[in-house]
Amino acid sequence: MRKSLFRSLWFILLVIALSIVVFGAKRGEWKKIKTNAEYICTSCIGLGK
Amino acid sequence: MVSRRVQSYQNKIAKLRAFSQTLGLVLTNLYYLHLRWLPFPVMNCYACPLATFACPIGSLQFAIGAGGFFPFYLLGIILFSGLLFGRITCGWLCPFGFIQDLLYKIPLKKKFRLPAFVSYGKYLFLLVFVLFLPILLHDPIFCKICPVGTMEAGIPWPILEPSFRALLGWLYALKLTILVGIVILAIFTPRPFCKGMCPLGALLSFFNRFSFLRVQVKEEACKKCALCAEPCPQGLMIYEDEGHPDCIGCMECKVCPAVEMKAGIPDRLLGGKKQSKTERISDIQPKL
Repeated sequence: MRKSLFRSLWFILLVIALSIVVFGAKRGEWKKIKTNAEYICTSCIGLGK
Repeated sequence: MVSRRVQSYQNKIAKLRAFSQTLGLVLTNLYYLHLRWLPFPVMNCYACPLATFACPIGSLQFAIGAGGFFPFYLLGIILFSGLLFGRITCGWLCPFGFIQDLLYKIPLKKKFRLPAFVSYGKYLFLLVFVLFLPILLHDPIFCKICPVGTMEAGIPWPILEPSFRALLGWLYALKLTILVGIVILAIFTPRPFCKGMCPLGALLSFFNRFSFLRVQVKEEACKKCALCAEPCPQGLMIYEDEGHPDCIGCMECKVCPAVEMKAGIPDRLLGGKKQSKTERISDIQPKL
């Protein structure tokens, strides 16, 4: 009983994870992440005095 | 005493892991796949001229800092990856982890383990440099000290783009010092960045206790002899705490037949016992 409850909870969490991904993607977050990733990150290189 | 059967099985795992890590290194450096909309859950700098994916930590700092949005998409991917693999991606796919593993293979007599408290450092870096400071300053602060960025972007870009050379200053010197420090440490101690600094490892570590793929110990076969502890890069006695947050699932502990990689929906929360200082064998000489 306890084991199947834990498995169900885990599965629900997985569904939540996928739903969050889809929700975020629909809000266009992937585009913002892509745009940011396509700029050359000056902090990553260490540019600046 | 390790049986021949176990040793051959361990060799197979080691070869498979080396192949998987090489694949991870290649996959994260295939620029022409144009997958920078996808934060891949390993440390790979998106400023690298060859980067395939977006860096999850850089993207997280951008979203909560300058981007000004809550990163549902990114956190969903991290949650999804964590539920499936826990920190196994660190041990099997992360290119920076692979480089540290290679550095540690340099045969030197003076090898040592970092003390156990160092592993709390990664949570500090996650909280302060990835979450708190980027929200406060709207700037990716962890990127400014990240040795992965220095290696993958900081070194190649000034070579490829001469105009960048005039912009190099104290920040570059700081980044380079951190990278050199990590490289030197990695020759003497296994995976120092993963142990004490990696914020992605800190995020994924929470899932080790209930991930689909996980390291488990067969209780009936375990003699608690600590055979598994000697080759463990994190210095863990896995039978004392299965699903330990520091376990990267590298399966070096497979020297013991009681340890296994389990796949399946978990039916309980693994481990939970805290390891004492003596249980984290910081003082045992690590195996080359």
